[in-house]
Amino acid sequence: MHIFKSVVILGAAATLSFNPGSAIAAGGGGGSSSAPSNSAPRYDASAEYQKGVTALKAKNYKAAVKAFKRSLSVTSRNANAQYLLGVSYIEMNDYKKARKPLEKAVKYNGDLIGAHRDLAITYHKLKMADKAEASLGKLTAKDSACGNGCADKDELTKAIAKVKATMNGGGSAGYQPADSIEFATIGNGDTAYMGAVALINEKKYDAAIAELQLASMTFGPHPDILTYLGFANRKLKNFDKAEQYYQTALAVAPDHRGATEYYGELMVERGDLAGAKKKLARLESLCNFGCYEAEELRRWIGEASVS
Amino acid sequence: MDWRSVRFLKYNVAIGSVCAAVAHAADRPVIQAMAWLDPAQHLAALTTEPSSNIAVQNKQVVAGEALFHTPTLLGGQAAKAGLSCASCHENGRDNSAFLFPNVSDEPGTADVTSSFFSSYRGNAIFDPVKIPNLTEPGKISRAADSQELEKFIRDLIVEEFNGQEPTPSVLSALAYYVRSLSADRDNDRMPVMVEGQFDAVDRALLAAKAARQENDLKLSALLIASARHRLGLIHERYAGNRLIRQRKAIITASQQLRELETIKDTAVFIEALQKWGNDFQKTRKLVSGKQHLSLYNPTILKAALKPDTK
Repeated sequence: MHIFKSVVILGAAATLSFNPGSAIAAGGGGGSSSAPSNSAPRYDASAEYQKGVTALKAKNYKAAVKAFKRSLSVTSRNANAQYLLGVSYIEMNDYKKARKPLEKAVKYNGDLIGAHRDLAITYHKLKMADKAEASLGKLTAKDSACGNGCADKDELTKAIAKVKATMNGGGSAGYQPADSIEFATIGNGDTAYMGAVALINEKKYDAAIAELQLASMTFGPHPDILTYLGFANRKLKNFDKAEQYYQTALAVAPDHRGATEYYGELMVERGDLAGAKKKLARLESLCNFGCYEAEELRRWIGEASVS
Repeated sequence: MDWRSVRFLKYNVAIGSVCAAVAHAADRPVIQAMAWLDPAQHLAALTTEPSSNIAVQNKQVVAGEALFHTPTLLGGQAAKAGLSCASCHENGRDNSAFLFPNVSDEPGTADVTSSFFSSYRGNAIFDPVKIPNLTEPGKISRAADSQELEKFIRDLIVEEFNGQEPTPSVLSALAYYVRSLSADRDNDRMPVMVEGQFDAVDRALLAAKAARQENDLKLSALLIASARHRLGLIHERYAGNRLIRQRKAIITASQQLRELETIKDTAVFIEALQKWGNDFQKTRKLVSGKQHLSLYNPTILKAALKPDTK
């Protein structure tokens, strides 16, 4: 399994620099013209997510809830943060509060097997039998589609068994889903990050997405990961998904050059040259000393204008 | 206390306060190159560089030197990271401090077949090699009549770094520069100074002007990009609240250069470039005058590096 350690560090080093609040990068000023309505706390979604993971591992569920909520205040559509918020509530035995974030988790990412499992168990605990059955049905459908050889087979089998056992009245009293989550170990992350980028360079987009999703479970809504998820999806012609990832990346880090460039390229691919030009203008305002991202987008627009 | 003592005291207070401010503000590498330099060598690598004697009378060499230091010449991840040819080959030498995560295994090495940089040359094996010193003869013939060097450089740009296909004039300039490198230069490292960067800006723009006169718009654009990149390198060294004016002036100069690039008429371009050069003298003076408070000053840089060496 590829593991992502310090995407922030390498992101700055290697690809998509994300330096919110860097006085030096911003010329020391940072601008102070924001209206009072803009001065509410704005959290670093990835950092808060990682705080939440740390708190969850330490069984400090209150702190975990606080951190995941902060992360979600920046980007509410992050399935992993929603899932772990739900898990934190389950750990506090508060199934009522767990329900909504778990529903959102499976809505935003239908592939989160753990979220389907915990949602089914939550519905069961809330005596919502029909919904619990429906959630179990989604897992069994996935299992059927999976067959015998897919990578998720083992996880699906265990999830289905757990839901059924709970529904049959066993094993749910002290249910602690956090124990079953395999967070990637912090370590050797640079290798993994570069591995994912290498997969993209090798045009192995599905494999790259899988790696990036794993990273996302550990690091949450990091703009570099989101941008590459957008890029890989774009290359697979999943334009709507790609756009969502770019938009989320820009919600997390509005000055992200990579996300701005790739979003502009997506607009070119969709024939929206006016939109792409706006993204180019944005890049030019971000890159006081020129940057490759702006040059690339300019080239895309130029080539599209000629053809 | 005499006036000299007062001035000395003021100077030291200023240095001290800048050190504190810069160290406090450093929530990321204070200088981009730190991302690919061995942390143990940061101070030495960022305050000194190999000597460079550019044959300024040769416009091809001047253009080649500027391109050699331009990230946008390379493509993909390298360009986005701010890497140029010179990141590995400092003024054409090797770089014993180069240490890119998972591209290098030890300082001074690089895996040139990493898929991270290239979609062409990835071999799925981590096999870094020692970065060669280009002032010494290598495997590739540098004979002007063989064109072997030009082909080698072209393949590096396009295949190793996913860069755009270089024009013949870009390749020619780079080859001229590489051929001009010779091993007879002394090996002493010289202090990195803002004046050196300003001189490099001048040389890049001189070459841009020459390229425009030959109606070579692509080469000219790359050379302006080179000058702007150099201005960015100066800008990142002027950290802290005391140097806001300097940073603003550098940004303005860079933005004006971007506007110059859009001028289609060569005569108008050259006139505008001349005016830019004249106006820039004020910026140069303003910036040079505060070099002692910038990260060009090893004392201040050392203080700024502290958060990263914890």
